[in-house]
Amino acid sequence: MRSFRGLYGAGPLHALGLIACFAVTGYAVIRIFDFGGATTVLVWFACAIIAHDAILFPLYSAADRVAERLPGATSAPRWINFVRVPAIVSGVMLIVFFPLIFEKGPASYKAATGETLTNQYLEAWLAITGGVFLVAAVLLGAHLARARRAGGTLAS
Amino acid sequence: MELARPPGPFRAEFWRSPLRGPWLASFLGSLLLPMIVICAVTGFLSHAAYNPGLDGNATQRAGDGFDLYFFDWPTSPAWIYAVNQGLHVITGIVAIPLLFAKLWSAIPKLFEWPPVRSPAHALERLSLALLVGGSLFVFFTGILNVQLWYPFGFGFLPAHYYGAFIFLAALTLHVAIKLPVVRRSFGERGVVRPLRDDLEHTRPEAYDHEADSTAPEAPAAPTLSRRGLIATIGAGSLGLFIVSAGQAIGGPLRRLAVLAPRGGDIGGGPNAFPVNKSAATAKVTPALAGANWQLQLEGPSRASLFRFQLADMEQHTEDLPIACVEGWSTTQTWTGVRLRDLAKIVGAENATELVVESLQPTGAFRKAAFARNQLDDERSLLALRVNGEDLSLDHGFPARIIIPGAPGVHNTKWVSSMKWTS
Ligand code: HEM
Repeated sequence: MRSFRGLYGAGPLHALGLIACFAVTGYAVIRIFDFGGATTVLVWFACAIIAHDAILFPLYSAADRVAERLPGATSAPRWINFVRVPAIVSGVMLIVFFPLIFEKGPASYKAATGETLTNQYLEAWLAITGGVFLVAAVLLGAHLARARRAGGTLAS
Repeated sequence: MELARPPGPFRAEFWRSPLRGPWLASFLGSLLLPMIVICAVTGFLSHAAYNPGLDGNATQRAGDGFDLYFFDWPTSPAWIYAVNQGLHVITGIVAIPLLFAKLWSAIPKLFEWPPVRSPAHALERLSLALLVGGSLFVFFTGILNVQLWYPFGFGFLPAHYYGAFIFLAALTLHVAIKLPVVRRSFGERGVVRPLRDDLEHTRPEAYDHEADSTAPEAPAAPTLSRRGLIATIGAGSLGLFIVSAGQAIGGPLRRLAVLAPRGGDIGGGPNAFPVNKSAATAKVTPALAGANWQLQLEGPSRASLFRFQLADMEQHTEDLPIACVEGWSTTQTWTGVRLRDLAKIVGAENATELVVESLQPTGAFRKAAFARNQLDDERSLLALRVNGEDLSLDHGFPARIIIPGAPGVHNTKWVSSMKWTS
């Protein structure tokens, strides 16, 4: 066992688990091949990783770092979380519903549903975004007033 | 020879968030896991709801795939499919902020150096690529599908279904491998104790070079507490829930579901409920569905019926949900002829299977097969009317199938023929 671990880098159970995982993956890939378009599936798997790890993550962490350096963001009065929370609420809605918001599938969508729906998705998303930032602004106002009052008592 | 460690994210100093660490990964994973389990179970049940064993029903081609379903989909409770699909789609959508948070908590590991330490390490990293790619792939193909956007060059159903196999296999392995880390972190720090700390008391998790964890070597001062992070993720999930879940849950929530494909306001009138596929898309014209339309019945004997003859038969009224695979549902009051009464006309009372065909000339769901329990249920109707009025063409005029608990796409519209077999 010592030599197996030495060669492989982990115990035999670890190896068995990985073999099982890759066996299921192989089976699934073969099944997807049966339906055609399998190469496209693999490309989309890779694109999903790239879209998250190389685009979305660097973008939002860079935005956060820029915001952190603005005056008062992380030191008193520390407003950063009053921006982070509404930005995240609005941002995940955009990431999840961007096809509707930007009418990505309008032709098929409107035709398929007989245009019975009157939702204005872009307007709805903009209104929600405005709403959550407004709520955050009101809360920040209350936070600043409290900080000023606390600061005032400290100063006196 | 040692490879020189590249700069930037490959250096430990790059990762400064004081919140990252094995406890956070364990906690986020423990929140995510039950949602994934609900989503996976309802997903496989959703496939079973098609009765894939019956002729032509399987969307994955029965028999030659992993299609091990041994039961006929039940008709009671009538809302079973609506609840199943609602859960599937809602958990899939509200889990997204958690999934992103979990990926955020783990991302320093993407830049580990050296990139490969041993065969075990290399294989495990390959399985992690399947986990990360698989989770994003399965969640987002589902999310694009409910918005009817198909930019991919592959069939949605097999890719989403077999993609889930890859994702779930990699996830099972990941949880098994990380279980010791989860137990150690929860043992050392408690499951929820770190959530008690406000910002002032928020301390980084201990950096341990040996344990090779995501805890930072050079943490910055915290700007958000751990409970603040969890609350922010919760706000993201709650927001997604509010703007989408109403299309499945209905009631006052439906009006709030302003970003749901089938939420919001849909006008008034007896036929004012969502349409999955309009007559125009299905290429069913008013002429095809007009006065010359006759329903063809086939069992041991045959019969053809005009619509007025169907309307002269004994009519029954049932409140039944119509529920779409894409997660929306709505309960309406349907009036029509019992399937059992139609079977009697052609002497098919003892049939075990019924195949219904639509006027719709092409399309995956122009035809559906039903099992015996669905034929025998007295609430199963060939509906002619809804909410006291004739069906509109978009809702299946002259007649549509409505079966309790069955998937929406099997409630065939514009029925042209019904064939019973034993
Ligand atoms: C969609 C689901 C998940 C994804 C995509 C995911 C992704 C990842 C990745 C990429 C890593 C870094 C791997 C490494 O150590 O090299 C990781 C670490 C980890 N994951 Fe997950 N994970 C998921 C679910 C879970 C679940 C359900 C749990 C636990 C119940 C969990 C617990 C952990 C733990 C404890 C670590 C180690 C963190 C550390 O060492 O500091 N994960 N995860």
